[in-house]
Amino acid sequence: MAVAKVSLINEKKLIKKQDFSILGLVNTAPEYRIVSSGIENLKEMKPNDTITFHQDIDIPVSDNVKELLELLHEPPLTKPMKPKKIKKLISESKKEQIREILDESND
Amino acid sequence: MTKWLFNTTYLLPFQGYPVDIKNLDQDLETLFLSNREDIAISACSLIECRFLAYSQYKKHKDKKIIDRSTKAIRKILDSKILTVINTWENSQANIYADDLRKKGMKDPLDCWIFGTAKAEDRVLISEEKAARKFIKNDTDWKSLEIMNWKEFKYNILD
Repeated sequence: MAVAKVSLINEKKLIKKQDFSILGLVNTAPEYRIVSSGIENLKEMKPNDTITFHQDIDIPVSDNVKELLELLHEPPLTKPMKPKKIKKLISESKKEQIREILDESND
Repeated sequence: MTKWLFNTTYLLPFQGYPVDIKNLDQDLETLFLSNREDIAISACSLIECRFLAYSQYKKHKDKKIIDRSTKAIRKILDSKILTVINTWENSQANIYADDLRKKGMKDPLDCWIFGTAKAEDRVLISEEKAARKFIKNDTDWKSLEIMNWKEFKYNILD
């Protein structure tokens, strides 16, 4: 197992409710206790509450997950596309591949 | 506990097709780093990924396109970060898919993905507005909840 260091959340931070990247980790890693502000769980948390973690937090991550996430940082093949355009691209791909299957079976 | 089924769109950034949804890549990273066990995809989404790669390969004649897709799918499977549901092993998913097909949903892979979400009692995460409208207007399908990425983000924090 490899360890991914989450340096964002090992010191006092102002947390906004919308701060998904921080709250997501807190929410799904309940073994890491929030020790300040008397906040025991996210439901009691209000926008701009301050939380402190009493130690650095290392989230264990498998090498396979790390390698999967590394793909997000590789150069993309295209510019970002809107979901509607992606849907169209997938639909066209399906039509084309099915046409190829049909062509092959007609040969 | 609510469980989720991602539509194919959210797999595409891994195979080199960024999706223009605010912070999607960061959100995916956060989700997958947190070792959740409640997110699945249908095996049909893997087929859609492959069809896209083959089709783009044919168009651009660049073998990187296929290699990248193969690598992405292998890593998705190896990481076990997403549960892959074999739709064809779930007879109820097939029955639901048939129902959608009879009601006019044309794309069989979409029918199977939607059928899987309903059969597995999962919230479907999808950006498809037309499909959402289609489902919403059908009394048999009212129990299937569909959220887009933005809604999903807010919901998993509750």
